[in-house]
Amino acid sequence: MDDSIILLDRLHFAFNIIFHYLFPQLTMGLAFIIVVFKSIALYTKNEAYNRAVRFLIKLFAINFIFGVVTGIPMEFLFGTNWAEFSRRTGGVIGNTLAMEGLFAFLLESAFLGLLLFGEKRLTPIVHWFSALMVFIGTWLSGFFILATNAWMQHPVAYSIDSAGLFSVTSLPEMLTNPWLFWQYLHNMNATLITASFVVASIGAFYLLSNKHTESARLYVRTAVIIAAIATVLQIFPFGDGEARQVFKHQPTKAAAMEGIFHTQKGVPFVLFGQPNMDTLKLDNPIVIPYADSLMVTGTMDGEIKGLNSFPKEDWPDSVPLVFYAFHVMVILGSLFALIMLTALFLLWRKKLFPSRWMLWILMLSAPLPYLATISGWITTEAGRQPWLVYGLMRTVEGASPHVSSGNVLFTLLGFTLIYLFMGMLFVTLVIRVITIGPPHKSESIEITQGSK
Amino acid sequence: MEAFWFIVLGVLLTLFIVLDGFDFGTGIIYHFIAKTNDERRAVLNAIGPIWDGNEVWLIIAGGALFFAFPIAYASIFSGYYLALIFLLWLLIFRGLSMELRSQISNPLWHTFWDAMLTIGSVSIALLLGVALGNVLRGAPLDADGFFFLPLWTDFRTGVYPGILDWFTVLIGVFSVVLLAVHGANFIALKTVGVIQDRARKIARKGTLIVILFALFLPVASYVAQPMLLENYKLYWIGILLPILSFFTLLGLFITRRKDNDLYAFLSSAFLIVLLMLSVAFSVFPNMIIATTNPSYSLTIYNTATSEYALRTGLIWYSVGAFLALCYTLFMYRSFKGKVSLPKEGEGY
Ligand code: HDD
Ligand code: HEM
Ligand code: HEM
Repeated sequence: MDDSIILLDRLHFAFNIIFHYLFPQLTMGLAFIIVVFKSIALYTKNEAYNRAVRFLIKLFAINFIFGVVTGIPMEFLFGTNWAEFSRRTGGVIGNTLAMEGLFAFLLESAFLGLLLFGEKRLTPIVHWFSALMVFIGTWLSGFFILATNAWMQHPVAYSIDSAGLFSVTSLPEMLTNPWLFWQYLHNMNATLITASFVVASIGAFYLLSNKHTESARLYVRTAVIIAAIATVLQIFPFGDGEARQVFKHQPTKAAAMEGIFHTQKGVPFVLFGQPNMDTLKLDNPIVIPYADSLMVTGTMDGEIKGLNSFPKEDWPDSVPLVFYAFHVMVILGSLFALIMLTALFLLWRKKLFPSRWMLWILMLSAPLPYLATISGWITTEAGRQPWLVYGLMRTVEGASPHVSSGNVLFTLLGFTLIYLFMGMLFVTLVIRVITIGPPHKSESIEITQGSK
Repeated sequence: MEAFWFIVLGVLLTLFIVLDGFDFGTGIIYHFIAKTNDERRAVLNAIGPIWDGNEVWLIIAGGALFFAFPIAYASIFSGYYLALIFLLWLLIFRGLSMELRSQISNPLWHTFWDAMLTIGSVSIALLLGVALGNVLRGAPLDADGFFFLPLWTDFRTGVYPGILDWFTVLIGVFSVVLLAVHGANFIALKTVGVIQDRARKIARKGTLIVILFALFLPVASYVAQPMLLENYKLYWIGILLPILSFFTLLGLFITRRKDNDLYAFLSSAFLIVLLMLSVAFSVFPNMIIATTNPSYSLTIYNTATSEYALRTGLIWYSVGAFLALCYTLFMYRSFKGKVSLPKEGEGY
């Protein structure tokens, strides 16, 4: 098999999954925010929350559809492009993927219909319950798919037979993979960050243009509170927890992330720099001395393994990519906490709504969590290279043996074309929904219910 | 245990074809039954809230295949690479057309998505039939358990056929007709007035074509893959399947004549179930019949995962299936009855 096919297959998968994951990350976070709004509305009987949430549900629906239609290919791409991988590991990851469909997707799709079309037919409690079930469904999807990914990062509860086929030996153990703990918290919290930034951004946009101010205040206030908590938790303990387990179990990824080429004591934390693969040094480093050792080992002069302690064929094949992706995530993560803590402070002093500069910042920062999330995944996945299943199966072994690179390129181009078209569609539709905005007080429920 | 999961897989696929089948069928006849914008919205309202739930059965069936028979999953999905990717693309457009049409109220926008819906539905129905044809005919498996089929070669069956050959295309066309009838039955059930009349008319005509097909499809299948008769020789009880199918077809014909919409819909659903059963019965225990060398065939025994996984799967699948049943019923109950036309207004 030639090398170009592996690269093409990887590109193919990366492109598809990155595009797919643009949507679920908002879905999952927004489902939570919708439940918050619906709960407040139910509890306080304040109709303003009900009006405001109707708009969020509309946004949710569009986003959900794009998530669904891009998600279906994902499940099939394991078989089409990674047939050897599927053949050998299906006995393990087939479990979690099948569970996702049965437990999560059905739940989501059944209750989504009720959430979208049911406000008039159902009692408020049942409608609230539908929102809750949709939320649970999406977070269960996230759980099962992350359990799949966690197993590839940190295989547990498996056996291998003489033909190299994996099978699961304990399902409970697989679902409680220790790796999954931090990964789930960190990743799901990231979806809260994405959704709260988006909601805050839309609210800020309405406030700045002096439209829909009643709902807009609710958006900004709720989102800023959620985001301020989530952004801090994201760094500590969740981000810290992720980093620790990477250092513990995947030392090559950790070294690539931090740009540590040589095993040493008293490792500084690199704020930025450029990994130079010729000299195996970091060019133009800006560092905090001893910080890395302190964070990872707990002492100033603790030793951290660098890439040179491992054979070169076990290094991630693009160390700079892993390094940059990780640093983009961390820098953005710190920025987010800064932004949202400032906003929270202003909110507390009752100065947020008049502070136009802060609203501008909130409005413009909506795309950033997407960037941080993609970077996080690139760190995780490109850092896992050259392994497909860490330590057990290499990526080059996993591709479909009989699918030629010409065919892979053909379908990659096809997907690119379709997704470009869909991306434009999505943006158009979202802009349109935002232009229409949430319903005003006078508008009755009939109008927003409308038709399909 | 393997046989049990073979049945589960069959049930899931059948559920998908029966349920999403009437969505595809509706898409196929869409332009014939609904002419004005209001009529089209009424038709879409009949399937709008449920198509996503119906499509989930495909994902679940895919998941079950992956989980229970990973080796077959890998071989089938990479072997039918191009057909599968096309199916994915079509499903994308079908899903989008269903959901996005209502978002913008502009005649051009509507026309575009209406066209996408029809093109998508017809092609998907065709592809599903072709897939079934491929299951019946078999594939050129290598000793390593993999194969790769081009989309077409010379349209003849044989050791190295294409995904499309005379036989699979025939089944594909049959599937389009059958699903169109099934969809028409569903729409007749869910609507009133002129749409209902048109749907009934289409269903009646379609039924005749289905009967025509039923006369020579069994023969064609035997010509394409003689092995298919083996199981009938082995287990005479299998004979019941064609007999039952015959009576169901008769039932479909009669109920359609009398315009008993509910029974007609149930008949077409049951007919699909029986056809799927016959396919499963004829190929059992094979997952893929090798056209190259019978010993290369992938069966449920040489592609299944470990006994442990299959056994634990039994437990969580039962729980999941029960839950699934609950909310599917809940969903259908909430949207039961004839569709009514809501006032004009966009979005949800
Ligand atoms: C809004 C998004 C976001 C933000 C602000 C951060 N992360 Fe993150 N991070 C993710 C979104 C994310 C993610 C997309 O959710 C990842 C990818 C895989 C995963 O489970 O989570 C991830 C993975 C990930 C990994 C790799 C884990 C692995 O290889 O399995 C580490 C070490 C960190 N993160 C650490 C951090 C630290 C120290 C941050 C401090 C600022 C941080 N992340 C902010
Ligand atoms: C390669 C891995 C993945 C596969 C095979 C996959 C598969 C799918 C499928 C088939 C759907 C459509 C479900 C439906 O019809 O309702 C979907 C949607 C979804 N996926 Fe993925 N997915 C993957 C990655 C992810 C990741 C990484 C996450 C989150 C952590 C995620 C979360 C979701 C959620 C919440 C939905 C619901 C629809 C939406 O949010 O828009 N998926 N996925
Ligand atoms: C949680 C479910 C996921 C699973 C099971 C999964 C699995 C895989 C597989 C099988 C590959 C191809 C083989 C390889 O290159 O190692 C891959 C590569 C990749 N995935 Fe994931 N993935 C998941 C989630 C994600 C998400 C959400 C993203 C990004 C948003 C992502 C980004 C990538 C990238 C960038 C690559 C290519 C890495 C490289 O080849 O260097 N993955 N993943």
